[in-house]
Amino acid sequence: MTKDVAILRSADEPRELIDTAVEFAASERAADQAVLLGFLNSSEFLLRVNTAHEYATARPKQLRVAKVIRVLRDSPYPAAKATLIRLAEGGDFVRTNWLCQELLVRALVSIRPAPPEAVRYWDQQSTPTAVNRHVTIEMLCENETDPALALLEQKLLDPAQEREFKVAWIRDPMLRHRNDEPLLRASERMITHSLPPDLRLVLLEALCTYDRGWYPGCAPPKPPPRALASAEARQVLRRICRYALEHLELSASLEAAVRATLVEIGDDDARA
Amino acid sequence: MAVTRIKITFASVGVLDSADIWGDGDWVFKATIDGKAVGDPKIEWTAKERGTIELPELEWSSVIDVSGKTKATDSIKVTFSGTDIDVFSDDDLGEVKYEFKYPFDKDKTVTLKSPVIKGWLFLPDHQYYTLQLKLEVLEAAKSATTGAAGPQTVSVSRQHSGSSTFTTVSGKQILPRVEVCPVVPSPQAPSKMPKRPDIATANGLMPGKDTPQSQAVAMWPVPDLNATYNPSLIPILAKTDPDLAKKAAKLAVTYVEPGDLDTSFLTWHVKSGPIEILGSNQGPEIQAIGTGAGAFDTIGEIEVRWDGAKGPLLATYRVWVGKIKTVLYRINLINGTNAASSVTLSPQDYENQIKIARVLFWQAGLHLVADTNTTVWDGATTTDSSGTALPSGVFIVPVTNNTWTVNVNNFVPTIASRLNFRPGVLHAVYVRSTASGRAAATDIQGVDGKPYRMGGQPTASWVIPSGVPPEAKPHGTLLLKTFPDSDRPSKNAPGDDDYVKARQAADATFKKSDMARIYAAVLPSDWSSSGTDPNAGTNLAHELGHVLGLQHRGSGDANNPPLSEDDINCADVKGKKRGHPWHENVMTYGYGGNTANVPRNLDIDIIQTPVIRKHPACT
Repeated sequence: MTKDVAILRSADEPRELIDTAVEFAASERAADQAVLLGFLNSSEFLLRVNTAHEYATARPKQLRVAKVIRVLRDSPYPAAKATLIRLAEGGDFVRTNWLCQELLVRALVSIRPAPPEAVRYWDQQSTPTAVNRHVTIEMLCENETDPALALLEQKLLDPAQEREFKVAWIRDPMLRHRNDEPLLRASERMITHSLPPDLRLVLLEALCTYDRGWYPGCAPPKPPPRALASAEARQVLRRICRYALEHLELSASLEAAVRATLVEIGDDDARA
Repeated sequence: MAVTRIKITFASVGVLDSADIWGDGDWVFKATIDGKAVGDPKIEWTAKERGTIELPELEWSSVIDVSGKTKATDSIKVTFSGTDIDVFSDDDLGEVKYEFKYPFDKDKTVTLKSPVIKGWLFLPDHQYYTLQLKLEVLEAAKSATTGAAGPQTVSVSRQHSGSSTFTTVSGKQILPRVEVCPVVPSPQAPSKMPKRPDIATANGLMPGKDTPQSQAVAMWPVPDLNATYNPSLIPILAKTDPDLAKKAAKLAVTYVEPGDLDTSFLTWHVKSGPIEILGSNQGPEIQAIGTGAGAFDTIGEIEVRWDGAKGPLLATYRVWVGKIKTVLYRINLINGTNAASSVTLSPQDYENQIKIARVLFWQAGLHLVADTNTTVWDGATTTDSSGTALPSGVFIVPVTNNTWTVNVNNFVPTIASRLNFRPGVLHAVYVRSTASGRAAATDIQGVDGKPYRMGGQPTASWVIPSGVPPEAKPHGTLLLKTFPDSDRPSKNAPGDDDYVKARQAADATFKKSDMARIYAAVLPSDWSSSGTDPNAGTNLAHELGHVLGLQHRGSGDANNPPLSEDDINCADVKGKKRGHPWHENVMTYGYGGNTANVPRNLDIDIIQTPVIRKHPACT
């Protein structure tokens, strides 16, 4: 497939359009990316790629344009990442509906550290009235850079966010990353300083133990094997556990879980 | 009888959710059979999320002369691998290997899952596809070593009067193998089935055969209520029921050896229990009903013998007998403020999904019936926007807050499941989408969470040791782990307390404790893009099975531990303990056995049946 702007301008065949758009998305040249950005932010172009009915009824990743966004996500070139950032700043692409918005929420994960534009976009996409809120929180945990985790902390502190969902985020996407040093460092800050007392205990519990009963559904998230945690991650978790034992009012079961975690990560001094 | 020619076919490739395809994927495949390449590795196939790639049989199969493969150690190795052609780097989809072993004497279909490809750095793990692989026996010749003579079809029909054996023309005595497997479709590898004695090969007879009734029944178009053979319960029905033939249990032989056994000589006899066979008791398939008042469910036994009640015993089938219990349902379609925030298929399409679930639950004596009470709450309607009446039991619930229907987090109690709910009724709640893309049972209530024990033989789903001769008797009892109560009153969805007050204002009879009688699964309306996808119906049945208390059986998902979450496990074909059956139970997790139109996850077994029948929604 050739990188021919005329095809993007006038072709009607969706496959041809997408294959051409993919060529532009794969380019390292800023000029090519600028061309692509123009088309992605054109509702006329988007409607040649997928029908209005498809934009209303598909799953986001089933949209043809998703392939272009994925190439931008996977591209090693700064120019491609810049296109994602520009899309996040507004335009027809994100105005189309929540499906395209979700694609962008997911694709921005690939930019590390998360730039302010991405954080701003994720912030908009995770307000209490935003339909992509839960997906966004998951992506913040996937990105795991400081700006993303700062936004996650902000969401956990936001009184407008329902407590039930905060607990769910702690016990799902955060739990799935509980071996990771960046998330543990953010958790340390939240447990020692920022979170209200009840959520500190919920977070501590999610870092130290696991209860199938937390999840009503049939496909519960599962924590990674602790053995895979790096030495640096263990060090942070060790500090969290010691802080909890010294400063937090723990139930007997949670205290036992914290001590067991310390033993698990190689801190025999923690035995009661 | 030695097999001389077989055909091996790569039939289809199913694209898994975890393939994480964005747009259309371009996949290429490489395959070998017995060391020779088959198929064109340059052809690019369009892979769509949750789609199926049908491979043309002509190019993707090979006929093999196996006349020279006569040793027990002989085998035919098959390999299949794929690549996702990508812009920056092609993705390895993983390689699947399989070995067909001598004597290649039975048609066989196996579904294999590709390996989990580990991610690195920030990339997640992926499992991309399932492969359906078929072996067909094309030609068999008389064995030179057994010395059998005479027409094979006659030889096994000669029975000694009063004896339990049959004599072949060559003078050898055999006892034919007849199976009435309680799991239909009959389990495929990796599930291990009871050991079969070698009858055919040792005596120069026709290789054993799975019967047509052992295969998966197509769920679309929606079949009769009694479509699934060998149910776990024979329903008590009036013989005057005008639809008796479509409701009575169908029992059938699932495997015979020798393959040309004259099954018209098979006779079926009630050994115990209030069971009546309808019409003829002869042949490979019969119909039966339960009799009596059915104050409580009882276990019955049916025997299959050769040519009359005094003939040799060939198989025993164990089954519950009980009355049909009614399960009222509501399908609530939660529509947001615009087209992109509304359910994606028509109300009739969702009704069709529950019609498929209705067929699957009928085998356990449960009849899903549209809620006869049409009282609505929360602005729900029984007509669509044009004023046309919705199918019975289907309601549209308009909401002004799109977060209640788009990308719903259904791993926690949901707002959607309380909308237009009627206490005590089973609810299938379709939202526009869920954050995970998956369906989930969100409100599992009215269950006691206690394990259910069951002894006796044959065991449920023929868990090894099954007690099916010549296999050993079961060790003790099986223990089925069930779901605990999800306890909505103490594990709220946001706003539940305010909802209770508002509901009480609208309905003085409503009590706070009624929140403990929400029985619901929340499903993404876009789970399937087709209104005729039978997998959407089996998916709904799976979630409703959870709502009624059942945990996962078998799994079939390599991302999960290999054991059933309900603790029903046994050795697989490699001797490794794993969930049983792997793919064929309604509660399997991975849907790995599915092909485009014929799901395999269709069975509910005798240890699951009493658990779901005691749920308060079943009356």
